[in-house]
Amino acid sequence: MLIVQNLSKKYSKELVVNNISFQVNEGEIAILLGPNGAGKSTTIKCITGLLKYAGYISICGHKNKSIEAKKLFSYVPEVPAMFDLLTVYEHIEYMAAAYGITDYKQQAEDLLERFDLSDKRAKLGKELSKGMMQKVSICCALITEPKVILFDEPLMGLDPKAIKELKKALIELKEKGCSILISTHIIDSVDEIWDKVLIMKNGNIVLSGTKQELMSRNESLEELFFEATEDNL
Amino acid sequence: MKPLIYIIKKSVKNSLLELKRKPAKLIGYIIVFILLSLTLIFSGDKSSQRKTLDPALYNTIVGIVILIFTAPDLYSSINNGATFFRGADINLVFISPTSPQKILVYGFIKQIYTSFIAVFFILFQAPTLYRFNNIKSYGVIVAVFGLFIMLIFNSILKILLYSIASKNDKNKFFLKTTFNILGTIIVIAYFIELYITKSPGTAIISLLNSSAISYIPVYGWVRSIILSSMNGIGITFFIYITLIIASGALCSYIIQSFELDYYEDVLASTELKEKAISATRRGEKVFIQTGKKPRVRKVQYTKKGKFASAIFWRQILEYKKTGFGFINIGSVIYGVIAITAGLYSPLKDLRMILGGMIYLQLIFTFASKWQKDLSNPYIYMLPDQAFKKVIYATTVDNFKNLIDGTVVFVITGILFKSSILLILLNIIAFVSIGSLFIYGGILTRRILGSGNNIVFKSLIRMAILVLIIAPGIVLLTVLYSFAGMFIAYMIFIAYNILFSSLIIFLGKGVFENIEL
Repeated sequence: MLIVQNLSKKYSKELVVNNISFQVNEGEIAILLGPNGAGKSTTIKCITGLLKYAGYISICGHKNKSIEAKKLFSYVPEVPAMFDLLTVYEHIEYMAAAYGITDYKQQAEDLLERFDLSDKRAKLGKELSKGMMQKVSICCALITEPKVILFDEPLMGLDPKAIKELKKALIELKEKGCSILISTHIIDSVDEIWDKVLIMKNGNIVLSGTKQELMSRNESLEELFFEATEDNL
Repeated sequence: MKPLIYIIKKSVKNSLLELKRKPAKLIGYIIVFILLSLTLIFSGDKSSQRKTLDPALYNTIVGIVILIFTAPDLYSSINNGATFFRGADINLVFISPTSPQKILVYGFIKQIYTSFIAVFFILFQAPTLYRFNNIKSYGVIVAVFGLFIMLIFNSILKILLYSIASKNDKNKFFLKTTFNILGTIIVIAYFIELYITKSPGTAIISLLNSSAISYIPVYGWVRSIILSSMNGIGITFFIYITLIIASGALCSYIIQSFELDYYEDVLASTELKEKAISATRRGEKVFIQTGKKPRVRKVQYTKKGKFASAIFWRQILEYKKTGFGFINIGSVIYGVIAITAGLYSPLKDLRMILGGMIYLQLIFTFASKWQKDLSNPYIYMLPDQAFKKVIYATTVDNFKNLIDGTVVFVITGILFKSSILLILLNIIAFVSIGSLFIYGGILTRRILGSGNNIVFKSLIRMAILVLIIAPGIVLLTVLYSFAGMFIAYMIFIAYNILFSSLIIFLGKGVFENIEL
């Protein structure tokens, strides 16, 4: 479970995230929606511990920057970063070693197969296209079998098959009890899979609720989004 | 042309406004300006003790500088191309309804700024030049001007060369062969001079003082322009400037009239440039990829470690792929430098080599493995203690210093006929100051963080590093004369180790309190 309480983040004097609180329960897919510059990526980076912040963040009961928490969560960044001299398969092997996982080989094969990377396993990080890097980045996150997983614009650069497979993988993770937080501004891409929505604007959460809670409004996710974010409404 | 001028005008205006918004950057510029002013003021000191610079030696230095600025750049342009442009120009200017000629002019205007920045730092060499009484008062300005117009011409020639080379393989082969023949002629000429003079140094001086060089288009003329800083400005100075401008115009005309599609030609090189710029902004080592399949050795990833130690074994794997263990191209370059220094250095003193190696460490301090790791989010999220991560992420760099130090000091030590003890002390001293650079670098990263203002931050980091290492170097220099070699080295090593350890504890939080 992921708990975020009173999270604020300032860049110089600019308040980018303003005292937001939310939680993502076990087996729940939460979608962080918002226009460009709403503070979505900053929120995700604060949760991963890549940015300094004010507030409290816990992952399965551990502070997000603790070793225990780090063992439990994974992150797929918006801009994938690869090691130039490591092959696709070596990236997965490295992640397994870094997280102390020994029994990973079958799962590694499954992931490579799933994301069409089997024949690219010997390609170096610096030879990969952006889309392929994104796939490797997803494999690196999934190989650790996380209890909490954070995606920052995960579908950018993916081909239709990879998008389909990623959605399937998300459902499987959810069924295993994983808490999933996905930041995106492509509403259509997450329309079928979300359980909870958090809509951000100017660093604030302007609308949040579960699918059940919002069902009574009889509105699509897109309608909810525009209602919450457009000034004239 | 109006919209293009608008871009330049607005870019200049906004960069000035940015200085107002971010005064830290302005402070950086003011510091550079003050340093430059002081340099120029004090270099103007007309003391009677000034020496005379040998014209033949000056000729040689100018020739070498021109070769270094030109030859590798032109040769690589056959494969990589050249560009005045940025990604935004490709996306927003190239597709606009503006003629390619106008866009090329716009590129030239941008290039003038880039070339000016490239030669600006030569102004800091003013004191060195003005130490000599046969350098004219306007000498530095003339030298900078000569290099400046040469760099602008180089940029035009690079586009022309790439445009011709990219037309077909025959052209590429022809250009490469021409370069190789020219290179071979220079090497043969050098060996003939070496045979005549029997001295490697004199052979270079003799070769680069050949009167024929003045007639080489553009580069020979540039040399004559720069040499006006010693010989004075005459009519030939202006003739050569006119000829260089005419040559640049001719090359531009060829690019246009041959209907060489320079849009496509600059596309690939602009992409490379953008990659290099973003890598520099992230504070990473810049690898210019040429689109060729990278050459790496096939090695098994057998030992992988666990948690933080996985970082160490991954870095070992990367080294194995690019060389033989820790012996890679860098070690070979160090070896060549060591042999050259060992054979031709006028001072047979290992302290001088240590000084040179420390200087190289300072220059390449941001090109180490741990720096690259810090720009990747994985290391921050790796579930282990920050202290362990610092140690494991830097062990390989320390090992590499040991290998490179051993290569350099064993070779130079043998050639200088130094004692084994002195060689050993120098190796340990180099490794110890290397670790001070590594952990000092981590500390500065912790203090300053990463970010976009990489030039300013790099300067500050460099200054902090100099402050950290300076006391050790002062101790070594002072104690060497008073307390003897052994004690001086031991205290130098002790200082480095002590401060490295202290800094590790101060800098270990780099993985916990970072702004990536």
